Amino acid sequence: MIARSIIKHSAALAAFAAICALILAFTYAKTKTPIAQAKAKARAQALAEVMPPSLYFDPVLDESFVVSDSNSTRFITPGTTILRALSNGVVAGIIVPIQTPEGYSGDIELLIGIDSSLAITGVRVVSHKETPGLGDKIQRNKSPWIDSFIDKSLSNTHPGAWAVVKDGGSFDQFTGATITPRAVVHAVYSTVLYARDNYQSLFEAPLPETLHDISFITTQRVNIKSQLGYSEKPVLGATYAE
Amino acid sequence: MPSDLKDLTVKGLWSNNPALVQLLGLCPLLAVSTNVANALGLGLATLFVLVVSNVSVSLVRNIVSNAIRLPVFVLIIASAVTCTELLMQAYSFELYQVLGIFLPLITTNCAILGRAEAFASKNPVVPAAYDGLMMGLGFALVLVALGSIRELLGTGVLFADMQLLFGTRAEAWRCIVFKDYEPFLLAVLPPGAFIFTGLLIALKNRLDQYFASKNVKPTASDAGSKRARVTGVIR
Repeated sequence: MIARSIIKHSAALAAFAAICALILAFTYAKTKTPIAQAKAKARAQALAEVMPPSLYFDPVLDESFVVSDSNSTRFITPGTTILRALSNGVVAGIIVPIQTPEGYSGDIELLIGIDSSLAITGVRVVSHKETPGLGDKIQRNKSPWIDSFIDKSLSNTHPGAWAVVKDGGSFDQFTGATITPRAVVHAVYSTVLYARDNYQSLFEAPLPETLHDISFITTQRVNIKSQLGYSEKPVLGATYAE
Repeated sequence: MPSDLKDLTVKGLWSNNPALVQLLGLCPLLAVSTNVANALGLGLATLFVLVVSNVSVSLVRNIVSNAIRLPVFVLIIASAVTCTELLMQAYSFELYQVLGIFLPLITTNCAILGRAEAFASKNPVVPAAYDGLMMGLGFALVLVALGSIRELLGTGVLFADMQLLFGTRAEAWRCIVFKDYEPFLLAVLPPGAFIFTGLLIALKNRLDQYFASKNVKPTASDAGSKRARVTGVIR
């Protein structure tokens, strides 16, 4: 009697699970392409913001440079892909995705664009968990602060100036939040140093034959032909793409 | 409007409000209500899930035996949430990135399982859908009210970032209420959420008292819910 009821209930539960799984599979199949497009669009927008497409002529970004264990740093983890923007076969700039653990709460993920003269073309925050209203001014849609990095390079900014004003540097801190901008400035500075130290392999090494095509030609300057996307690891906490 | 639908409206929006009276779904309520755009986004997502889960639960209420009732309900709710998440990711990616972890958490919003168990499993599809709609609206209204208070006091601005929900034309909706406002951080941080939720509950109870004193109600039966954590009698 008991056995029969257990079997009956298990079968019913399994049937419901199967129906739910079918519905989920159907929704997943239907939304797969739009999601990939939305992700690619968000990524292309972020890339275009740190490296203006006017800076490079070829509508392609080379994705062959993968950071190895030996040349990784505290901020640039092994396995990171550094994107290279090309102009007539020459590297015009690089886009480096980094993350810093020095923020007020959790990792801050950044995209940094650096051109071949080692000047910064743009910095954007990809995700962070800083205090809303205080530390979140590092987001471009909250404050233009992050644009103060544009055109900064090792030649026009001496090492001591790569710090917030409170520490004697040239970057403003926020009222009530010094840790967050300090972490961002430090991470950006270390990335510029990284680009200088690895200049040969980043800017002058021979390029591979095949390149992934990212065209910035439509109205949105966004038309990704290759299936790009961020890593599949789940994002914890609020994430912001600007 | 038939009287039972009217009754459902009053219960969902006011007398049994999931957020202010039943105190269900407090985690997303407190975490996401930092501004109107986020609050409205999560409110609408919750509303959608609540209607879908109420309808599905009501449809299967005669097939599902008592023993496997809860697992089936949880399965239905989790599937509805995952579908919502996928759809939002596909068609409103920016909002999806802002709401982040709170979307999957709709699954654990007790307001949804609570309605499935307390109402949808005992009623036909139409009232169940209507109940889901009204409970969802009640929850969304509290979320938006809390979001407006916290955004206004925290930043001095209202309706910022609405383009995440309504496209680029909504960027113009942002209105600066107080100029040169010094941000009142407490309102944006978690303690502010608790304080203003408490004040909203107090306001609701005060209004109830006021209405009760104006027209003498038939004596309230105390045979309501026996749950310990409620701010009124759930009927």
